[in-house]
Amino acid sequence: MSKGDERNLDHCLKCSTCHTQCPVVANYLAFPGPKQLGPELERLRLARGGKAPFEIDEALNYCTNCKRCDIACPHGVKPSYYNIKNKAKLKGKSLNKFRDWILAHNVWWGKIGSQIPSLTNFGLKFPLTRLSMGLVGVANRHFPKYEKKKVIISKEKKEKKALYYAGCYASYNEPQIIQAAVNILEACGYQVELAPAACCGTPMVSNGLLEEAGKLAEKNTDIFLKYIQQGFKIITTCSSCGLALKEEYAHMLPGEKSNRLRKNIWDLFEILDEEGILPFSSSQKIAKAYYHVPCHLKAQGIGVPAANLLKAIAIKELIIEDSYCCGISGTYGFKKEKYALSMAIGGPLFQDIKESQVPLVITDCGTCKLQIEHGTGVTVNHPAVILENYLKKTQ
Amino acid sequence: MTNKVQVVVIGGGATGTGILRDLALRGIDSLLVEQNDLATGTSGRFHGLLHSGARYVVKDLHSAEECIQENIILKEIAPDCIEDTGGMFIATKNDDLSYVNQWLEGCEKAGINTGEVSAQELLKEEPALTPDIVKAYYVPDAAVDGFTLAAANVLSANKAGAQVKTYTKVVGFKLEQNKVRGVYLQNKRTGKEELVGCDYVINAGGAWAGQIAALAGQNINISPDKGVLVIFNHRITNRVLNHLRPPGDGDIFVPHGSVTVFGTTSRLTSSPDDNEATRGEVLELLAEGSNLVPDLKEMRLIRAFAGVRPIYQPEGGEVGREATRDFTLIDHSRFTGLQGMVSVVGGKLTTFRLMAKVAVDMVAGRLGIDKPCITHLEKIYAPVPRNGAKPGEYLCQCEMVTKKMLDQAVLEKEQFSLSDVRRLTRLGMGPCQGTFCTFRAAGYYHESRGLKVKAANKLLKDHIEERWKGSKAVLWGQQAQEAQLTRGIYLGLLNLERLDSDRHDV
Amino acid sequence: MMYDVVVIGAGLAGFSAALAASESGKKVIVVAQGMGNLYSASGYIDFLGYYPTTSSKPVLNPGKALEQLIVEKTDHPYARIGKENISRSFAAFIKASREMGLPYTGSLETNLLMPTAVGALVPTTLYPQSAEKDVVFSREIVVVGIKELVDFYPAYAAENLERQLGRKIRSVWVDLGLNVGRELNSYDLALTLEKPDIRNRLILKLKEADVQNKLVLIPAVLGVNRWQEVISEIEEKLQCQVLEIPTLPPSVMGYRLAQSFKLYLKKKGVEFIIGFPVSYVKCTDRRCEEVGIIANERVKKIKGYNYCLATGGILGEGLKVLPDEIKEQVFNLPIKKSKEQLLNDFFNSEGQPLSHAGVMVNDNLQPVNPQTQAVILTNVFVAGATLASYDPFVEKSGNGVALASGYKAGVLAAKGGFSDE
Repeated sequence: MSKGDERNLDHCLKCSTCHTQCPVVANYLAFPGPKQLGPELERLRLARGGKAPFEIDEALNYCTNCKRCDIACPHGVKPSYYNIKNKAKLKGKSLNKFRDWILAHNVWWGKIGSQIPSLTNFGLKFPLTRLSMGLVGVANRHFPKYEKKKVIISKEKKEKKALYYAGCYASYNEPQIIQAAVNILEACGYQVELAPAACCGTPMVSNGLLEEAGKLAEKNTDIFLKYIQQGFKIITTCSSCGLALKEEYAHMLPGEKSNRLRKNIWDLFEILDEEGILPFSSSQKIAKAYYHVPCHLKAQGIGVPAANLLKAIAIKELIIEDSYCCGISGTYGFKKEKYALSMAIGGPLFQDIKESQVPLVITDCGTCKLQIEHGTGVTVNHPAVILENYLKKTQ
Repeated sequence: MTNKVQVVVIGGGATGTGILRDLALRGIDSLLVEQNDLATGTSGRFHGLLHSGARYVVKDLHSAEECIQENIILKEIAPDCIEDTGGMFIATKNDDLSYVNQWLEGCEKAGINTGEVSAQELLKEEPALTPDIVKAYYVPDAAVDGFTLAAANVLSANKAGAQVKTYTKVVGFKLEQNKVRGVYLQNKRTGKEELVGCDYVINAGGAWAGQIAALAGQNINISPDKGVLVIFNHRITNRVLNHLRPPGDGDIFVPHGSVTVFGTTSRLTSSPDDNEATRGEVLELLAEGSNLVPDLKEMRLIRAFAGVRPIYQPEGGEVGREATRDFTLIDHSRFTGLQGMVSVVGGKLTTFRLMAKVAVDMVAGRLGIDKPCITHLEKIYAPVPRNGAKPGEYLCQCEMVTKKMLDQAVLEKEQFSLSDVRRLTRLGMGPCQGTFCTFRAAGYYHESRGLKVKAANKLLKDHIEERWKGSKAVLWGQQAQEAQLTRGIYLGLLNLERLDSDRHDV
Repeated sequence: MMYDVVVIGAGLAGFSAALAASESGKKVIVVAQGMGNLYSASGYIDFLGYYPTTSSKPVLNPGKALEQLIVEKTDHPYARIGKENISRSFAAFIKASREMGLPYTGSLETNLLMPTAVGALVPTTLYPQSAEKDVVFSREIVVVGIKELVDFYPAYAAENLERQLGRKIRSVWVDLGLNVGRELNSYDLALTLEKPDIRNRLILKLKEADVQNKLVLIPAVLGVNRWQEVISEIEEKLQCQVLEIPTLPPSVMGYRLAQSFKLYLKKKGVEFIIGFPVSYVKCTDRRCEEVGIIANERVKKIKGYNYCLATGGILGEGLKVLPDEIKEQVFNLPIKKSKEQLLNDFFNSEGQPLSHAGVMVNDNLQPVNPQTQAVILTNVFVAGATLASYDPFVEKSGNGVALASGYKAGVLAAKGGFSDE
């Protein structure tokens, strides 16, 4: 501080509306909540020359970075901005730090794991592996399967160019999403290329490795900007990757570059909505499904374009739900000490899904999918995977 | 309580309380009287800057030398009252650089350490500053809390046997054969009057010193000089920020606890009670301050206030900023032959201890007491320490005030207002300006102090009114919203405006 | 995508507008900067508590007083809304509240006097069914405070109540023994009281306090979602009556209303985009063509046939106070305001001129120029605290104006096709 950050802590009136929307507060009372950890703590920290942290800082580790507080604030304060910044300054237990580091670098594990998926998947089930993961503080829960698949892309040159950024989950665990997204984009008249960029950095950001995430962001931004210069739009299908590129990058690298980048980042369905293209035919609709709006999609301020399409094209009765957080928050739910809390946060969502008696849940976020399947046993799919089946078969 | 003491000190600001402490540490039986609470005059209405003296080196070298000496002593003896933030002087591209050289020479002469820092390096540490810096220097400025300082002086004096009466006004002097024999006092809350006999009176009434002296038929020419200040919601800079140019309006920012105090202006006024800031004055200040902090107008203001500098004006002297910030000890016997009264006038908070020493040296000498001043050797402590509070205990979260601190703040007081409490604890000094904590404090004191419910209501309402008055001049942007939230709570939700109206009976 | 009605603002006025519009089967979206100020509100819906401006006697029959107000104070929002719409909004809200599982009750002919956290009595017209309890004529009253809550002081509230009711009122503290390590607000406590063991602890302590056959006044912390269950459990087990008192923000009673209302609207098919202010508008020929939020440097456009502007007043940021002017934030509509901005006393029953500032409208709630009365935008209908010429806090009319004007705006926006008159 204090370069007039727009909507900074000065806008906090202490009304605590954010506090009532925090999924962590609702399930873990000792958590001081976004008002206190965000604008209030930051103001007091500035009062100490921005130096020594307070006792309650440790609690910051329990923030899931779901950004529901940012959206809740009637006055536009973004508590998560301060949480992320200050989380990075925490000194935690070394073992947890090691574990967080491992989880934050899921891209490595993804790269290695998806090379020989069967071996990795076997390894993840192997008791010794699970035991050692438990020792470093990783929760004893199902890990996503690693999968590898060749993506088929048309080589045809077109005026409309899309650089598709799949993100880690689709790349290493569910490559079907990539193929579906590519097919949909091509049906919309796009020449598609796959982005050579690595992980978006979200896991590092939420694990407090802000410096490293910043370097990654800088590298990725440069790659994306090169494409943008050539007329590419950057398309994502992962809500968290999308939000990171739009918002976190702007916080980490404020300036002209990140502004230029964020203007060219589109969610797949956001761009379809914007361009008004409907390459789908509404044949055999699925009777009933449940659409969970990921927190990080809500935070993008683009509404629910995928759900609107699903409703129009593919699902007769679509229950759209944006009231609950699934609780996984990327790597959060994989941590031993947070696993129970993560499941408790997801509780109301699981219950709502079970009560709805749907055979299918649809959501844009890969880790939301893992958590919902884990919590309900109901199949979860990405909207691109569903909608791909409804592409007009003219070409 | 006896109704005879050796010395009566008038005025509960830094100077008066400093004098009381000095007297007490020399074993002189003394009483201090203050018309309001401690530090409610200029000592509580200034920028909270413990001068290094650097600001005075060009115009007033002598003052500067006194400042740096006292600065070093006070940092040593009053750590509870001072935050050693350090300070900086910056000149921008629009400033006269020849002044910089004069200033550097002055600092050297006065013995004030300055360290030059590059604009680039400084901006890394203080990102709020204008990028137009051409010269920047660190100086040993610091932030001082005038309320705590006065209270800490009194605590130290009390321990040495001195007494204090607040909310007590001097209404007259008992004079016999051109000598002061006693002081007539009136308790402002009860209206009760009493006479306290004494051998000597030290008038440390600051901006009110002239009015007090007049009660004894003495004439002191004080030109009250009003300075407007504003408070920002958060710390803008880590260090005290001074504009490196001849002293003018809006060139000092002091980081103070969790807020920033910014000022000041300098305008002659007719009354020492003229302490309201106007919206126009605030806007002028902001325009000036934006030269140093470009985003200033975007930042949230929580309050504006004014203090009156007690500038002593001997016949034909300068007025306003041109006048000396030196202090003067007036021995009334030399002018009118009145024995038993001295007045301490002028000066500034940074040199209060020195002023006290000089005054007490003289009075002690007259009383035949030859004990030396030891006020620079013993530490003073805040009556309500701020450290040690843990989450879970806060009643005011903006400023981390606990119930225990509320207890400590009213320990021996029969009557008190929440403003009295605020000055010792910072209750209600944060962004919400008492919106949440005022109700809590009233409810808490109602029970813990066994207050009558009407008294508790008054406690609450008076504090909200007081906070309201101080924010009126800056009621736009977020603070206008906060005020509407306060109204929503106290009027809409609690229906307090009609609670004690006698016509409202069911 | 084209919406029939775009509601800007997510407070009670916006929700009421969305309710009215969706009832006529229209496609409705609510766009708002944040969650709105219901979370800070009492959860009571007061239509008129005191006749403006300085009356110190509470209004006992709001319906009658409103009729008089509509005739006498022609600038007041109620005069623009009209008695018929007030009654309609009242009925529509009661119906909706039952369907949303948070049943409200009350009558336009009667104001009930509700105890406040400081022990004053505030007249209110609509209240949750669980609050239908008469403090003035009730039997013995016990005021209960919870040690863990910093926002309620039972003895203080009890003594003030005592003075007004003219009889002795007992107060008691209960300690739930929660050692959480931070201050708890009303919402936090309400969370804990959903847990059976903590609830039993409270019941046990209340039993010790001897509350049988008494009216228990307790801060509104009896559950976030399952308060009906909590209240009836206490009432049945202890054979007493329980009345919750709204607390300082975050207000659990406000929270319940906000959450239930929003969920109800969602189920009715109303869409929501919350978290971004409307900061782009396109208007031509006295019509708003589209609005937009700016998220991540890009405008997300939202098109509708008609618009309800319910962004709130100064507190809700529908109006922004600058040092020398007040601005309406979305359409930059002209503001009607008096010259004098602030009165010296905070606690006056005249109201602050600042609060009276706002947008002037005609009988169709279309914004008009305060000087010429000419309609500025024909397909925009203004509701709630954005409206000029009243001070909700001293008249205790905020939620009533919000509900009634929101409802009327929603009905008009759903009809569409308006010209000037």
